[in-house]
Amino acid sequence: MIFPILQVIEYSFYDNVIVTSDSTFVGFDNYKELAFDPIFWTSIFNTIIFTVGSVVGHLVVGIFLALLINSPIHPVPRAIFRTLLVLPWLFTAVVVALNWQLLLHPFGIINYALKDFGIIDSHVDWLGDESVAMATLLVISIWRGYPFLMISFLSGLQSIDKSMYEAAKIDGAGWFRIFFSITIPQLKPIIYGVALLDLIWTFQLFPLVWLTTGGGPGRATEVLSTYTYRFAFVDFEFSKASTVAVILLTFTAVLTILYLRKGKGKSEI
Amino acid sequence: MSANQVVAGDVTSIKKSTGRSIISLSTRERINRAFIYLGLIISSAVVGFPVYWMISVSLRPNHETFALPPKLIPDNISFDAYFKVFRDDAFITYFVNSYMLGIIVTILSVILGTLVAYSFTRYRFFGDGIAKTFVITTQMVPAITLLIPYFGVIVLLGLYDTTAGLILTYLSFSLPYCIVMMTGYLKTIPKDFDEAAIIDGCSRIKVLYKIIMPLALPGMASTAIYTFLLSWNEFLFALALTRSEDMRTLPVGISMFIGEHSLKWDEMMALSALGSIPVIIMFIVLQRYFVSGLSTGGVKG
Amino acid sequence: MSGIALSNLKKSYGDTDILHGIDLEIKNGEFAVFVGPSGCGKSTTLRMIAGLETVTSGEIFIGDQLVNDVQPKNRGIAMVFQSYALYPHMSVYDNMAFSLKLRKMPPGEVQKRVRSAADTLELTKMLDRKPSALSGGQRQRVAMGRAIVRDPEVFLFDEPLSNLDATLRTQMRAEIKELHQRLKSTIVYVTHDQVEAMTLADRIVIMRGGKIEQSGTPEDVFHNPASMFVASFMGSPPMNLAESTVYDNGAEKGVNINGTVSIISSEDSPLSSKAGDRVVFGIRPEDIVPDFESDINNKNWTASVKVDLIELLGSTKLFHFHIGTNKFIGKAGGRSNIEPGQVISVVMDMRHARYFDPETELIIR
Ligand SMILES: Nc1ncnc2c1ncn2[C@@H]1O[C@H](COP(=O)(O)OP(=O)(O)O)[C@@H](O)[C@H]1O
Ligand SMILES: [Mg+2]
Repeated sequence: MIFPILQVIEYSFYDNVIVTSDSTFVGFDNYKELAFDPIFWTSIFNTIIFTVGSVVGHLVVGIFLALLINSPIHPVPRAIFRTLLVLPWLFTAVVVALNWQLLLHPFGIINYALKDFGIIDSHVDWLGDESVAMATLLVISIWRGYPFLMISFLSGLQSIDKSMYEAAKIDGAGWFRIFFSITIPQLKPIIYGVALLDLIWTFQLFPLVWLTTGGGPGRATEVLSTYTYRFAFVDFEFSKASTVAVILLTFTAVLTILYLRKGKGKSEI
Repeated sequence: MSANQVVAGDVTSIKKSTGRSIISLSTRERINRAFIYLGLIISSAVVGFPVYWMISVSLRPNHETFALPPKLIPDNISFDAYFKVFRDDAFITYFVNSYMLGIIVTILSVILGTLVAYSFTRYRFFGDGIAKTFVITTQMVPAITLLIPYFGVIVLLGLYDTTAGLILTYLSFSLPYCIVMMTGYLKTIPKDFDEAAIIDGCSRIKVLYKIIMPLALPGMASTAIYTFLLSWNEFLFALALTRSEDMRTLPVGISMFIGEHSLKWDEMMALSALGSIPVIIMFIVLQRYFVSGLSTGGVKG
Repeated sequence: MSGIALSNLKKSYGDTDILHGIDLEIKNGEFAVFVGPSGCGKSTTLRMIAGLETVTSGEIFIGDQLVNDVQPKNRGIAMVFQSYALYPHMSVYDNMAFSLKLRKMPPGEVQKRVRSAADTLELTKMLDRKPSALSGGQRQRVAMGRAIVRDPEVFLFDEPLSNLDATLRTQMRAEIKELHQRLKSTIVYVTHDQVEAMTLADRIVIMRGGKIEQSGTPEDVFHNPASMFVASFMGSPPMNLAESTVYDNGAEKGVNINGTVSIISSEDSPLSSKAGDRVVFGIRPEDIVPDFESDINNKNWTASVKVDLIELLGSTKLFHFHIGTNKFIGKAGGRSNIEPGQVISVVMDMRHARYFDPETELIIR
């Protein structure tokens, strides 16, 4: 695993790698070129928006639903709801993309429903309109990704010692108090660890973005991973692709180090 | 269901069973519960709708897909789309490719992984740490970053657009994962069993297949299913390392479909549903393991 | 049947020496019990006899054969593990038959042996069950059954009873003893429980820090401990030990405890040290009794003490007292009328007193 990483770093200092055998060492030229590439900066900006938006969405939805599922209800509906609410996570990215393209189709059911309710005046091309594409992508990404956090929080909630709640109740704490003084602090290590993990994964997410918008329209949803892929397998500019890949790797490495530092002792990895 | 959940079966059901039942629930508690159920039902409806719609569209003729007003329940349920998918050689190829790749990768990595994990747990080795680091890196390093050098190597080895290339690529991710998972499982099997078996007259290999493997079977099974899912869902490498239609896996096949047949929504949804069934079944069977597997980073988005 | 001989047996893990040269001969048919505190190397020794650990140096003989490099399965041994190590996926029958099948014994013979062992151990009705469906005691029996069917020359037991509750342990102890009397095979048995050791052993081997501290019959190690360690390890409660000074006024010789109480030694347990020497004086609780219960008339052996604490054990009563800073425990009849705080006169039976060197901690002969 070290070898391919070193390899890609090496590629980023050469020109015309892979496609030709006479690649030449160009030093930091690829990086310099990239620094003056406005699309590169757009994709960094998009990546950050996409990542932060997704992760915050995952967290909020995940915690909310975990709490709902964990509340004192009968175990059978609990199991059913839990399975239902995990569903989005079980679909492979291609299916998710296809499914949402159908839903968001200009003549699709979402446009129809929104128009019917008077929320929009005319059909919106949710994935094809630069002004809304990123927001749409975020909704899809949140829908797809929250179950992972939900399940993690759920297992965290269930591992909280029940006697703590009882003690707090006896001490006269209300629901609100209990939530902020016991549940959240107890869950904090898990929230932190899972959020970082989610951050790392969303930052580099490729298939979902590539398959729903392909980075478009224009460059409206171009993120670092799609930008890399485009360089490599559309333009066959493997050197430039490697350069973006190395930058992506650097970001992830920082997040990973954070994760490994703080997450120690709490989770396996 | 996990023990936790039975315990969490909770105040209300305990009260019920002791016969003092619902009367003792205060009105407030009942209202609370109503809200909880309402919340759950609404969330499930919102979250589940896309899935419902996928199935629903797959079961109606294509021309009804965008009928106005949209019909939540199709007038005529028809399985035509499914039959069409099954009659299409290309789709069959995608399924065969995905299953074959998944099964080969799974069998190889679970068997090799178990062997290596056994030697890690039974003889002291430094390799355990290396495998762990390997898994962490594969979990954390962007797939797209690894793709480029992998592509370089696969092309160099002449394995571009071959099943062998994909198998090799997937193995490089799944084998370390299997080693780490199986090391975890095998650690929980006390060495006493090995020693008892050795005294009973087993050789090391016999210990492994007569005693250890039967005991590790649940662990091997869930590791195998993870590995299979990893391979079943993989998109990026399958996309970039193949070219010909014969080599496409299901996800790649479906993604090509978007471009090539973009009007046949019924068939696309049928294909999506069919492609998702193995995953959903495996998830339902293995819910328990999924949660614990999360912490070892089994399923990357 | 065969005995076992260990000769200068050593074991190290890397740089750490675990066994520092064990010399021991266990006779054919002998029930030898290794006892000692946790971590002293009992299991290691046993496992080396079994062939589960390599020998760092020294020799192991089973019968006349040097077995250092013989595989476990060819050593003619069977082993019962502390955890029992019953194969969870096999029935009781299969657990017992496993080793026989591996030896390619004819099926008829396998069946005969397993049935007969099951009969002896009252397991016949459980043969089809999985180990998980058995109680602790039954699992223990299966573990023994698995050993018995092989008809080994030597049985090795590693703390086989430590996972059972007290009642069951006593019962199984008796069964193991019975088994030995019937099979007359050599047994090496490891325990950290000195009561188990006393009741089971023909020969007790007391280990400490990777060495044999003493080896002998139960009577021997109990009454004639070779060291302070053995004296305090064997017996419950252990032997009372107190630093004392030897005095000799010509007419009589004895020990002075804490400058307060002087007791004259007995001819039966002579005190060889010179006057002024420091010795550790040792006496078993059963040799300290209240004067009114004693049939000994030697007034030189009495002392007046205040009772600190009483522990009723049923048939006997332990009374705690002190002489200076030294704590002592004596034994009175279960019905004696002694109260804490009471001052009583006690007799120490100096015929059974023992004296140890405070430096070497070894007995002074
Ligand atoms: N595999 C090993 N590696 C290093 N030290 C060991 C190993 N096995 C046992 N030891 C050490 O050897 C000593 C003796 O262990 P053991 O024979 O199991 O003691 P016991 O008398 O309690 O059965 C202990 O201090 C233990 O820590
Ligand atoms: Mg031990």
